[in-house]
Amino acid sequence: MWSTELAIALSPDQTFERLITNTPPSAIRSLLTRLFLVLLTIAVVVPVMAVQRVTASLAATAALSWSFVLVIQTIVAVGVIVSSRARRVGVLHALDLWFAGHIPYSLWMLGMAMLTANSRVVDPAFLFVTALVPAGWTAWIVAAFCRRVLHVDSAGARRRAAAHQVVVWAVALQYAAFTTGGWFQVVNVARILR
Amino acid sequence: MMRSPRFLSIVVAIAGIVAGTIAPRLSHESPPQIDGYSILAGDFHVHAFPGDGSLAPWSLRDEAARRGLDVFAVTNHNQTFTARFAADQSKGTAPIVLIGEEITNPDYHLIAVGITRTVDANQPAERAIADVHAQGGVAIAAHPGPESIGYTDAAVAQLDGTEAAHPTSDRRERDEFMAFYERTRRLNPHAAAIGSSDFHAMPVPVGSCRTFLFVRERTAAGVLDAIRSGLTVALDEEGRLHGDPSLVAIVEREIVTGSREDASWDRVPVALAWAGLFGALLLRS
Repeated sequence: MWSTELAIALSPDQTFERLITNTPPSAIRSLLTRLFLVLLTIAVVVPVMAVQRVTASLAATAALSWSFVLVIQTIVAVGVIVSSRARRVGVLHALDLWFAGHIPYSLWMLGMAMLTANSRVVDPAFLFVTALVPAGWTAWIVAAFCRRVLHVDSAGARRRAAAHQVVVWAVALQYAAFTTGGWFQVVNVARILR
Repeated sequence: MMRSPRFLSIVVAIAGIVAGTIAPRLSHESPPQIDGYSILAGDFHVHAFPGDGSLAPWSLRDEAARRGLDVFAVTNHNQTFTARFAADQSKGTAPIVLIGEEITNPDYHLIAVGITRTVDANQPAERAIADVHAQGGVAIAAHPGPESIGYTDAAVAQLDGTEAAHPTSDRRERDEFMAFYERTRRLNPHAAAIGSSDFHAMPVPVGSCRTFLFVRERTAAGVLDAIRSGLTVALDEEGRLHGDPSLVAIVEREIVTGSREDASWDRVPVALAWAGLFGALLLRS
């Protein structure tokens, strides 16, 4: 009934352990399906949040525009995966399992889309604060991924999960600073939050 | 053949996108004419992707047309790359797309419209305004409040316009925009009242606050001339008009400022796409 992604989100250790032994017939096909699902989520969520409607043109443009987020995620993921020589599966299979952990952010995006589609005023600060939930949830999943798939000890898993969070937030904040005119703009948002 | 719940969910999501594509659209009305002037609707503070806006320029143009705008400016922070691209790929089509920039300095935010290259943000407001004018553009104070300490009297006197209407749910902030507009009009009686959406990514739609312009010709030059001459009226989110009382009276008479949008047609496709995605994420493949 329920998806593998949901099982990973709820009990990552057991699910990763099961999936390691259950190799998909084609890791690349499985990976592409997961990436397609994430991209479809972005393709619907971005226009719904921006203009409260969705069309083929808006969805295609949003998917194309924001696909760089997946590229960055892939680069970070490969960095984490190859950091362990003890990993129990190949890089492609590991990448597939990595992207199977997308549920926290995908659900958060869907939630924000529903909220903004039904409310005229959603404070960006609210988005920023609520993003801490999928961030923490993802860190928990990544730690389990490192323990089970990369076969590193608990301390190593925590270090990698922390490093992943630092890199993702650093890239996101750097992007925000670059596009909004400078770091003082990011600091202003932080002041409002405080 | 039995299909998985995930597959069926994806079909529902795609059906939502298709339904959204074929849903009826508003037709754009011709601008009213009065005494040799056309009254255009414009939004001179819009952010696009790549940048901190979420929509690509062509999506933004479609959205602006749908919202009944005749002209808008892409004004990303401290860069004009996106705006130049937007203007380039929309040549000869409506609405008119102007190259702009939100010159973003810790002490002020300044909208430059009608420029050709990026204006340096690391300089006092007075010099930035002079740079905008040197390029043939117009300079508009963006959401000016008490934190905009860069707006000295000398700088304000050079402004072509100021955002008298800008989206905010804070009444105090709204009063501050108006107070700044009054101050600007005291120092420069021809300063234009501007209404802008500051659209980024969230549901403050493009054109939610807008500017009505009295133009001699429906061109970029005609639009900039109207701003320079102060022939504008700003519309805020609550439907109030700001600017020269005689122009406000004409806009009140000639233009229906209430929402023309019928969002009900868009609700069903969004709900379908959303529900389909929700199922696709949670149900087995």
